[in-house]
Amino acid sequence: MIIEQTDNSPKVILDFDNGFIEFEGRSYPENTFEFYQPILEWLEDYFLGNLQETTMNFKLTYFNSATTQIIYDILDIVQDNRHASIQINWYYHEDNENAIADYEDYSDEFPDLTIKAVVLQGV
Amino acid sequence: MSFPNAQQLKVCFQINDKNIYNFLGNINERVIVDIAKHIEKLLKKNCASPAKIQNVFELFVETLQNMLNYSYGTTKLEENICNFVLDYDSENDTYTLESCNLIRYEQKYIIKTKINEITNLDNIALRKLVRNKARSRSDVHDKGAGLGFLVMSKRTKEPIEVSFTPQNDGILRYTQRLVI
Repeated sequence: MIIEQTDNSPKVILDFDNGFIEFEGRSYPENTFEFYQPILEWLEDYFLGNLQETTMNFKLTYFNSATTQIIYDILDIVQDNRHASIQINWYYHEDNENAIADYEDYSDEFPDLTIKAVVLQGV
Repeated sequence: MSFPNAQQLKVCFQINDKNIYNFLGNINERVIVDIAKHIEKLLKKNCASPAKIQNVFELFVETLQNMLNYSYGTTKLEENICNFVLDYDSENDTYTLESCNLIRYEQKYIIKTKINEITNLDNIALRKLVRNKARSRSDVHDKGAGLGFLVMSKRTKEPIEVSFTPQNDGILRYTQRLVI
């Protein structure tokens, strides 16, 4: 499943066959919970008994407070299914202090998950 | 009972020589996206730092989405009507976002409770509180995560200032001031 990016919602790739999940862009849709509900359901189904290696990329340049909650919900689903081998990558630009703090908060809150920081440089 | 809220809102803020953007009208999702993009371009043109642009953008979106979710009026004209001004103080490299909209009386207590909860918390304590609330989902409701004021407070240079002015029909004029 691919959800195309808009001005206020991210591109979302949910690739079951290749174990690839990605969120890219800005996330502040008006009805954030409504936007993410089918994605959360997909993730619940995906991780249910799925042992395949999975990569999950967060490439969000801005997200609103409702999305902050959603990311906790997503990481909760992953944590509840730690039998799957999953690499989580958190992309942020070196200038984005807020994103660095967000990365630290998510990493600290989910110590059992491996969340790798990927620092982007330049414009 | 209807009253000229647009006029009342219009006098909510005086435009001064530090003003770089102001808006009075009804908002929706598209309007928020378009103004956010416009403000971002404006700040880039004015050579604001990437961190400052990011903070102004984030606080603008969070403020306007709150307005969209919680504005209330008794007439079509009043629905989602808001007034905001963005000022820039070059001496202190500080932006101020003041906003004004109409809310239900009950919202006052919800907002005041949230503001009281975060008053005097430093950034580390705010971050911890966001984590606790997000994990417990304690403030989640049908329109959001209930984390807006917490997230905004992390990004402001000074505590969030709010005030409430009673109008007619159980409506309040809500004003908010963010220093970025």
